Amino acid sequence: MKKLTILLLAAAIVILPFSSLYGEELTLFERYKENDISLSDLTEKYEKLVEEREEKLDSFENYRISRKSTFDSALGYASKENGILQVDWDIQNALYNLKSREAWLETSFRNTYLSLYKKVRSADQAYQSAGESLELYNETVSNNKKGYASDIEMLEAKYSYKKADNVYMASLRSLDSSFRSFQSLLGGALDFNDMSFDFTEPAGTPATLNEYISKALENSSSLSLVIQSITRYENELKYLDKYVISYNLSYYREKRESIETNLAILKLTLEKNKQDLIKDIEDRYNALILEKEKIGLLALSLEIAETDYEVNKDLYKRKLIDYSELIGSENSVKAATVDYQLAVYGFNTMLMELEYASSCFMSEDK
Amino acid sequence: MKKRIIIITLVLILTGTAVLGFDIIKLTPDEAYEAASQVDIQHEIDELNIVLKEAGLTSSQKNASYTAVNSYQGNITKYVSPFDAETNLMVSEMNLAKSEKQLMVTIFSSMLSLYDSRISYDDSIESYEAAKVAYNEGISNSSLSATELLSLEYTAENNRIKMLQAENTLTKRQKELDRLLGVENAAVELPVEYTSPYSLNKEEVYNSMIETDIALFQSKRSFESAKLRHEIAAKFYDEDEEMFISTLSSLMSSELNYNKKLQSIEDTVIDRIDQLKTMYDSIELEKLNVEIKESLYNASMKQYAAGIISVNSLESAKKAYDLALMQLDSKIYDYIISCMQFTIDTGYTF
Repeated sequence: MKKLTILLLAAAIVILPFSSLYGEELTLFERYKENDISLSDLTEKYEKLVEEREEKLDSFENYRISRKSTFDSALGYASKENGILQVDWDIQNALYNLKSREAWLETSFRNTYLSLYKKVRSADQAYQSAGESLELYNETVSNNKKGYASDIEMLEAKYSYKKADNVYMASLRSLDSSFRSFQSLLGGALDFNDMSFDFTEPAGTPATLNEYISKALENSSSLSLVIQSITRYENELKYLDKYVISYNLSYYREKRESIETNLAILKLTLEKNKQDLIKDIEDRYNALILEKEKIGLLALSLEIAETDYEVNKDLYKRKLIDYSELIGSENSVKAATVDYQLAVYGFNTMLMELEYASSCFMSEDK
Repeated sequence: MKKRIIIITLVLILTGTAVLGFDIIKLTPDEAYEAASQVDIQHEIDELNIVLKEAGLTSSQKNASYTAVNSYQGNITKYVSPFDAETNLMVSEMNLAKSEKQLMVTIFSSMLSLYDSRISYDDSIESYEAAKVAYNEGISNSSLSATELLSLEYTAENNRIKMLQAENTLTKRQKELDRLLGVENAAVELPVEYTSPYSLNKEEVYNSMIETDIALFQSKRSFESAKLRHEIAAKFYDEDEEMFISTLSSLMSSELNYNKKLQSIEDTVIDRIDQLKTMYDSIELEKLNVEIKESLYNASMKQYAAGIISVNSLESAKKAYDLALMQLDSKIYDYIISCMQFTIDTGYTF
């Protein structure tokens, strides 16, 4: 019964026409977003930090600095200045995490949505394939009875059918599992009537590579967190130099050496992270440009299917081909249309992933 | 100073080649290693981390010298903390030494990827050119239907995109190598000498790996540290007390972990030698392929001279022979790099 339900639902999804459902997709996405615990936690954390900002700043302003020794004073002043800076850094980092999560959810939703559709498609294909194998098997059994097919041929046909049936069952189970995951991501029962897969959208236009790189360098947390640590150590060094009695004293010297080594490590890490970030953006950008070329190829493929269909319509009218051939070419147009739409959808998702990797989500809020 | 000399040398090479019009800067393995060492940021970071670990050890030893041994914690500070700090330092040093050896493998692997992507790119250009010719011929052929012509266009377009993909991969691989070496348009000579893995002695490899494996060393030191902790706990706590039980449990678990690692090394050695054998055998297979393609090419030359086949067929036979040679080279390089990795991982030199 369960299998039948899935089959009917899967069939309903496939049969439902592509229509203007952008709004419904957004509704699903909104449910997806609302149900994300991390996002609500991050929002709460960010709001709390903003709310507590003044109070925290005040507490650092009134921070008592130990005067037991000049060494303690140096550490105390550095700690106070870093503490004040940390209040805004924490807010900035929390905002970054929040925006980053929102942007990630968008691409994640698109990928999950597409993956679910592919499962439906795959189950449908497996169903057709199993049906064809069963037909062939029945035909072979019949031929075997008439003496036209050997026992081995019959066994082979049976094996093929069983294999195709297993593939079909596996694809149903896989669809069932993905559907349940999707439901849980949306936070409750999902009504298939609200869900007809629609991938019609125009291809987005990417900015230039340099724009992405500059945004990434400006906003990426892999850099800003290191920069914050560098500032912290630089402040420690500044106050240590200001209050130093003599670097011949081992505790001053050791502290300074430790700060300098950590600073050197952080500066190298910053350089390395910059290189890695640029490489990542370049790779993603180049892959995106290639993807755009593939869209052109699929547009051509669609044009071929459409031309072929037009020719076949004419041939059918003149009774030069049969109806099944005409329907076959019509189905090819439908398949080519879906492939084209999926390619555009995939391209747009890749574009969003590039924007995500470049921390574009921070541009307006920083 | 040394760094500057290398940079200046590289700049001179770059300028010279730019004037002479050569695109590729060919480096010997030693030159490539030297160049990569100078721009390897991670290596510098690892070296600095060792400085921090050394400071940690000094500080821990200093603390130990001031600490009295009349309590459990005092004994831990005096004996266990310096031991653990020493382990951290030793492991970092071993990892750094390993990463230095690993750099050569990384360079060769990067060069091999570049080599392979060059083969794919050259191949994709040929496919595209052939499809373009077929399409252009199709345009001037009036007997073709619109669908057939579009199909030819599709094939040409598809091959163009495959060529772009191959070009993209090639550029990416070149950039990866350039970034690794800090040199633009670099190429590294790949080694060609190799030996058979069939003469490898499993026991010798096993003994070598036991002596050099970092993870095993680390787990051995953890076991010794846990033993120390438990011996100290036994002096201060009774058998039914929490600290005694806790340190005993840690000791047993670290001993188990060490023994497991020791056992897994034997399996690893067998697997790694088998992998090398498989790769070595595939070289022999590729050699056979080269022989076949060479014979076919020689036969084609004779047939062409006798006017039996066209120049296109002769070219195809030549290309197939060249491709087989390149594939053989690729397999050999791949095997040599795996042997180098084997030496790094097992400490055994062929």
